[in-house]
Amino acid sequence: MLINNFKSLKWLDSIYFALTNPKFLFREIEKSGNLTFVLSFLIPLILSFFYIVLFSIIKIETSFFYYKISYGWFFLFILAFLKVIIFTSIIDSIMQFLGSGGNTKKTIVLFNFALFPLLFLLPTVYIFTVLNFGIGFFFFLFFLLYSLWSILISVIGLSEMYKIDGWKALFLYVFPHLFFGIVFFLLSVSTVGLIKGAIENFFLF
Amino acid sequence: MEKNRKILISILAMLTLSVVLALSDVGMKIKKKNKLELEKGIPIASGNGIGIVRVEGPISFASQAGFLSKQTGAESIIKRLDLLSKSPNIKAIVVRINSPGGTVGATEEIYKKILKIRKKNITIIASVGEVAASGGYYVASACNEIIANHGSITGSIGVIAVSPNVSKLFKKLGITLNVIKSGKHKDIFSSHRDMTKAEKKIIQNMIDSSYKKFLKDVALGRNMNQADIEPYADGRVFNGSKALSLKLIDKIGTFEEALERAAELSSLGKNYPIYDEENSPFQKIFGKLENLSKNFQFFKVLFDSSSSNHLLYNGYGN
Repeated sequence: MLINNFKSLKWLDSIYFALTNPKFLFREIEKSGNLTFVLSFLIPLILSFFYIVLFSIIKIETSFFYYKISYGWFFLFILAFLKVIIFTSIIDSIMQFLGSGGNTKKTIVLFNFALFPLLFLLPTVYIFTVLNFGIGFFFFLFFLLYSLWSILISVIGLSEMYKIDGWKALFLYVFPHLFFGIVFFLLSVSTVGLIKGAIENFFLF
Repeated sequence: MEKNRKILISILAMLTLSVVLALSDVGMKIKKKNKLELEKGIPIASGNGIGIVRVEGPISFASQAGFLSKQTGAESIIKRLDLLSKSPNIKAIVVRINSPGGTVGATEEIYKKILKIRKKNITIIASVGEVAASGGYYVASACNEIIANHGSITGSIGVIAVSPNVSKLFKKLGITLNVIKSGKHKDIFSSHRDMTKAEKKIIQNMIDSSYKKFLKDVALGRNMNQADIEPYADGRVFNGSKALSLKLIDKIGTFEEALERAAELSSLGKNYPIYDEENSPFQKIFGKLENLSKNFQFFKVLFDSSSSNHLLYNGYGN
């Protein structure tokens, strides 16, 4: 059954729609089962690996690379995994609060598939590293472009999923990022303040 | 849909190929870096060898790293000399010179750096390629020995300051300039008026002072008497064989022979690693183009009337 499914190449349709028509992507996701949910995590897993390789080709690498490609890859994937789970939970909570039905599993699948364009960052930047030409500039340029593409897929998918307009979907997507950005900033400021205060008090004693 | 799936398969194959290539590239870079570090004695003290420093084109502080090329200019040369002199595995340095000269300050700094390294008992040999004139020769004179080809151009011991005078052209075009200055000599290199006798004297004094320093430094570096050099230090250039007869160089020879001589003087034997600066092919192509534009800039400085501070050790001066 699994082999037949693999041979039919139907599993490629979700990737195809993610890249070409995110509206159809959500329709594909709606039809999908638990297997797609599990397999969708392959994308952040592969992306984490690509990121490690990418950061290693844009600078002179040391033997530390072998730690990065093993422990680092696992750590990066866990971060990506947690990010998707937490952000989806926040979005789901907001939508439930506003009266829409929750759709956690499918949102996770959507977010995972939306990461696909970022996989192109490695081959694109690799070309510039081979040419040794404007690596930093093109890295940031293409990172920005592929990130925008990824955000677009997520926003269109969310808009289809919750039957809301694009702006609301964009807000829904941005909110968890903003929320965590502010929380992270406040935590950093308070931690620095706490350490500074502790040092000052220590010297007063 | 079947066609789209096939296209996607190709994209996935391309992604896989790129990651395989990138991984092997990273692997090779790590291997190469480890080998280089081993050769340079960074992790393990082994493999004594010769370091190469390249002095190419007009010498100035201005020629910094371009967008496409590696860093050049006096500061990067000094930095490289410093790096090599600090490495425990560098027993000799060959300074490969292909330079018509440069600014007084920049050449002086390189000269002093080489002298300082000589005091550390590191052998430094100058290998002249096409030309080591004026400032290029100044740098070479700091080395233990100078080896040049028969056809290499060297010498041109002298200082030059060039200031164009386009006042007649300005007059023809009806252009006048309003100059407000804090002192009477502030526009000493002005291109829209003749230089006064007093101003010429100021510049001449500066040139004479720089020339005396040049002569003294060459004599010190070459371990010769100033009086022996002075008759030929009138700005004239020599080929390798003439320079050898005047003892301005020590030997006629190629770059390879310079390496052999450096190895011989530092008792390195026959098999020794050579630490040269590395360029990517892309940097080589675009570096050459940038160097060309820098040469133009150098000559632009010569004729730039707004610049008032350009005494030069320049072999191509007229």
